[in-house]
Amino acid sequence: MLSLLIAYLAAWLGLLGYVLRLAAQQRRLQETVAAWQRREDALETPTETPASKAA
Amino acid sequence: MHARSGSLRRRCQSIGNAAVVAMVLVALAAAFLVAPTERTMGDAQRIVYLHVAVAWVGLAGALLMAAAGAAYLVRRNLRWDHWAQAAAELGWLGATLTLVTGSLWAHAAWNVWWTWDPRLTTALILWALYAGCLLLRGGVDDPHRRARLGAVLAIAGAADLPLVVMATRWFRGIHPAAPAMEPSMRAVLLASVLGFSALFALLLVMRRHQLELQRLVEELTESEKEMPC
Repeated sequence: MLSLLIAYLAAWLGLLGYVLRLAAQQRRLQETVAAWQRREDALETPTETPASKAA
Repeated sequence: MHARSGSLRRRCQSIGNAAVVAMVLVALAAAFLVAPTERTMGDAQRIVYLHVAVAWVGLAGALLMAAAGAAYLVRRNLRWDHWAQAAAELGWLGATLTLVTGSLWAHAAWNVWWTWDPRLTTALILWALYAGCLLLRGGVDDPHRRARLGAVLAIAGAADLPLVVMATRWFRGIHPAAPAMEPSMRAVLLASVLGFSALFALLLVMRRHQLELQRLVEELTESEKEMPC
């Protein structure tokens, strides 16, 4: 019975480890994309200068 | 229109993911609750339902890795390499779990953790091929060079597959070939193989998609670095 439990536990831990690794990688990628998006938005927003204010 | 089709696709994906998880849980429950207890080995025999399922995944991963490698060599498209990489990772996981569960079963059946039986030896070679492939991939930066080397190793390593499958027939050993089973045991085994195959297929598709996204991010980072300030 102990062998059976260890076998199933090992399998689930292995799968869980892989899924957690995928999730961590996905989070990193999404953070990178979100950082770019923020920078793009900041570049596109028109900034108010004294010259544009006077105009 | 696009938003609606995207939402429908996401909903279909969620239903598909839930169905795969349900299949695996049903297979797990069936292995403990439906399959009868074997007379000689007792509960330890239930390891077989898991062992056969992950072994099948380990073999399928190697086959897919070699096929995707061959497709890359013909087309020179990195998309095929992403399939190969995902298959290598999941196949390695399947091969590792095959060795672990097999060793636990062997201790209960033969009173040894390991023996140099032809099936066990060829399965260990398959595991080493996966490990070598992943190590090689991890050590090469250029994506096309990495894909080329990985493809060559995967195709050469596929020669081990018929040996693993036919080891119990071609060579003399102690690993059981295809033991006679009661119909209910056979049904549970089939459910387990189907459940784990579906789970690994789902993870394979997710990982391939992630590798594709990762490549796009890397390409954008590189092009940004090359842009004049």
